This record gives sequence, structure tokens and C-alpha cells, in this order.
Amino acid sequence: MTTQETPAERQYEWVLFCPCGTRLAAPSEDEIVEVSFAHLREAHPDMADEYEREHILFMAQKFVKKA
Amino acid sequence: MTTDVSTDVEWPAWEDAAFYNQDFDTIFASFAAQRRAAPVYWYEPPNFATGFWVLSKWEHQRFVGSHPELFSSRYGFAVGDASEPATVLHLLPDWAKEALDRPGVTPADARGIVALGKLSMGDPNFESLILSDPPRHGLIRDIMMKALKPSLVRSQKARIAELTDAFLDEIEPGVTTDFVTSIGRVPAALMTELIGVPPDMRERFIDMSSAQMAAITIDPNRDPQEAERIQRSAAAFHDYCDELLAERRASGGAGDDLVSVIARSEWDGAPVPDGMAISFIHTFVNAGETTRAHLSFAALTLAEHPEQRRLLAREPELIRNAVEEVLRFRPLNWTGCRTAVEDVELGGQQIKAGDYVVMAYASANRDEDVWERPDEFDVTRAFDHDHQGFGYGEHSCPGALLARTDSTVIQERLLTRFPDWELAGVPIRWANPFIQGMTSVPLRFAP
Repeated sequence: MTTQETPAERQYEWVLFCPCGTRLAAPSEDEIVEVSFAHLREAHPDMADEYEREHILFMAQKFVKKA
Repeated sequence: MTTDVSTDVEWPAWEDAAFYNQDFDTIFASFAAQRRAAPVYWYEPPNFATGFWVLSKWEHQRFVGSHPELFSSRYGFAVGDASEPATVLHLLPDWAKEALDRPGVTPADARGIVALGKLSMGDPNFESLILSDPPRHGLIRDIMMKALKPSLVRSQKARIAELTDAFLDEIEPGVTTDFVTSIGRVPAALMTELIGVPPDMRERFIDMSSAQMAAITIDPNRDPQEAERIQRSAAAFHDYCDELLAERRASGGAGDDLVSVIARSEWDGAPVPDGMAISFIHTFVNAGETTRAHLSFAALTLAEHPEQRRLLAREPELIRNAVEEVLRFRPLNWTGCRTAVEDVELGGQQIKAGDYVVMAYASANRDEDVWERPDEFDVTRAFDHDHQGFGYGEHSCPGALLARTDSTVIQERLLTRFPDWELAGVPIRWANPFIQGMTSVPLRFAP
């Protein structure tokens, strides 16, 4: 991926950097929510009830995806 | 326990602030030379109580960050904490001096006392997140993360934009503006609101918190008068935080501000102890200051790379990506430290229980085994690895979400309003072995 690419060619993915440092990635909004809840349940069960879908989508961001 | 490897480039003087105040190319070339030749390196600085291991590669730092059971945070968090205690006694409160004097104090104990002593601003009951280990660390961190919860951060986006716009309104195109003291103040201004500092105290509070940032780094070579000024200002900051907490406790923690949230939080069925609550306030405030430093580096780096800035103005969806690239390319924290609690082999070296371990975050962010074109600033870089800009694992920055949100919103507003800027003078940077920031970034914005 370089700056020479046009916006149309540039690919993005949804990424969430969990405060614990784990990087979660998925191709769509729905999938990043799913992956994030799975991580919460496994790694932070005491925090799982604190988050709703909208919180996950706020923390997740679209990043450039490696070609 | 020495590593005798030589290269043409001088290796880092990890303990010396002067090393970190050189130009970036020299610093990163020095990091790279050591990273390639001796990625796990035993270093013995002059006038230090002990030497320490320096981990220069991303892989080794991630291992340490993900194994708190092997690498403790209780015995120091910064390079300077391993200074010979006699050289930093004048920077420590009486209780820390007495603790250092007790029989049987090991070098690791001494580092922990020095670290807590400088953070505490004299308070013997101070308890810091940064110097704690699981499981206690997780319990302390939960209180803070519940205060800085995502819904709170999200609710601040509009306010961040408002504050930014107010600073942007003051900018005169073509006239020199110092980014650090204008737009760079937005995160600290927001934090004073979140903490609930009265409007007439906010400017003074931001100034005091800057001194507190300087005070948490032990530097035996600091000019005595400057050290005294910093200590005095930091102590005033600590006293003010005490007052804020006492006020919130007196009102039953009924407000929405962060101090009220902490005042009504519980620890083991009782109110959070004062020493812990104060450390939370310090951490909130530090978040405002470090985000100012990050934003200042972003403005500087985008002035130095106009083609990247123009790309961001054309494709603002890349701004979020650019925030990460700035954190990788111009990290705030040079280093983070742990102490081995048992013997561990890492990178072919035998680390002994009690040894101090310094993770060179800024070096890992240029690790050629992780990053393509590591020395190139590229806002379209794919982050298939996370950088070390916020650390990793249990002790990763608790304010990362707020910092990322601050940075994204502020840069969106700035690039929309003033997509073109250039340096209008010589930028001034400050650095010590723990952290760095900008004192001045003079910019000229195009109409």
C-alpha cells in the first residue's frame, strides 16, 4: 500500500485496539462487533456487560488494509 | 554480563537526556545500530545503581508486555529510577529517604522506592497504577477505565470540535502561530472540564500539570534551581488535586466529572483511598499533556511532509490512519521498564531475577522485521501490527481511546479549515529518557 494508490483502489478494514493491547480486525462493521464481543467474553468477562454495539463501533476504526 | 559488539554508529546513551535531545535521524540511526547488532543488550550507565537490559525489538517487548507474571512493574517504570539513590535523594520525600535507608533494601526495592517517591509528591499513601502488578493492577485499572468509559469519550466529540474551532478562530493566516500554545492546548482544556476544574483555575491548572509531568522523571543532572521550581509547582498541583478530591467527597461525589466518579467509586467495599484517587487524577491530567505532545508532533511532521498533509486533506478518511502513523513515527514514550521476577531467556540472553529491563518503544516502532520502510512517514501505512506508542498489555495507556479521539477530531477540524501550513521558525523539542514533547512549533497557515 503506497500513497500512489487512488482512493478507489485503497482497501480498508475495521480494527479495534483493545485497551489491553490486543488488535482485533474484521472486514465489516457487523463482524468487528462480533469479534470484539468474543474477545471481551474471553479476555475481560467482568467488563463484557459494560459495552454495547455502539461502544464497539465507536472504538473501532477503519484502517488501511495491507494489500 | 556485558555484550561486546561494535558498529560504526554510536550506540544510545539510554540514561542521558542529551542523547534524546539530538536530531531524530541521529537518535533512530543509533537505535537501529544496536537493535540489529544486540537486540537484547546489557547496558551499564555511569553513576547508576545497577545496569539494565535494553530490549530494542518489537517481538521481545510484546513478550514482556504480555507476561506480567515474569516481569513486574513494582520496581520502577523509567530508566532514571535505576539511578544511584544517593544522586537523587534531593528529589525524594522524607518517607522515601527513610525507606531507602532500611537494612536489606535490594537494588530492585530501591528502584521501586525512587519511582514511588517521585510520583507521590510527598504522599506516603500514594498508590500508582503504573507501579502495580496483577491481580491488584487489574482492580485498580477497572476503576479508572469505568471513569474513562467509551460512552464518555464518545460524548465529548462535539465538545472537542467546539474547543478546536475556538482556537482555529484565533488563527490569522500568514501570521506565525505557535501550535503548542494554541490548538495544542485543546486536550488539556478538555481534561480540565472533564475533571471539573473551575474555569478561573484552568489555565493555572494546565501550567501546574506540565510541571508534574517533568517531576515524574528523575534526572540527577537537572539544574538544581530548575529542579526546585518543578518540585514546587508539582507540589502545588498535588495540593490542588487534594482539594478537588476533598470537595467532591464532601458533596458525596454527586457530579458527572471524573473526580466525582472516582470519589464515589469503591475499593474493597469502601471509598477509594485518597492515595489511589489522587493518582487517578494525576493520570487524567497527564493524558491531556501527552496528547498535546502527540498533536504537536503531528503538526510538525505534517509540515515536514506536505505531500502527506495534502493527501489527508483530500482523503480525510485517512486521518485515523495518520494518527497511528504519527504515534509510530514520533512516539511520546521512548522507553518503559519492568523487573524480571524469575530467570528468563530472551533473544539468546539470560535475564536474571531482579534485573531491570528497559523496553525501547521508539526502537520497536522502527523494527525492520515488523515494519516495511520503517523510517518512512506514510499515512497510508497498513497497521497489521500495533505500534508501541501506547505500550502493550496490562499497562497499555488507559487514556488511549481519548487520545485517539482527541487527535482524530482535532486534525479533522484543522485540515478542513487550514489544509496548508508550513514551519515559520525553529521548532523546540524537550526530551528525557522516558518521554518527549514539543515546547514550540511555530507554524504559518495559508489563507
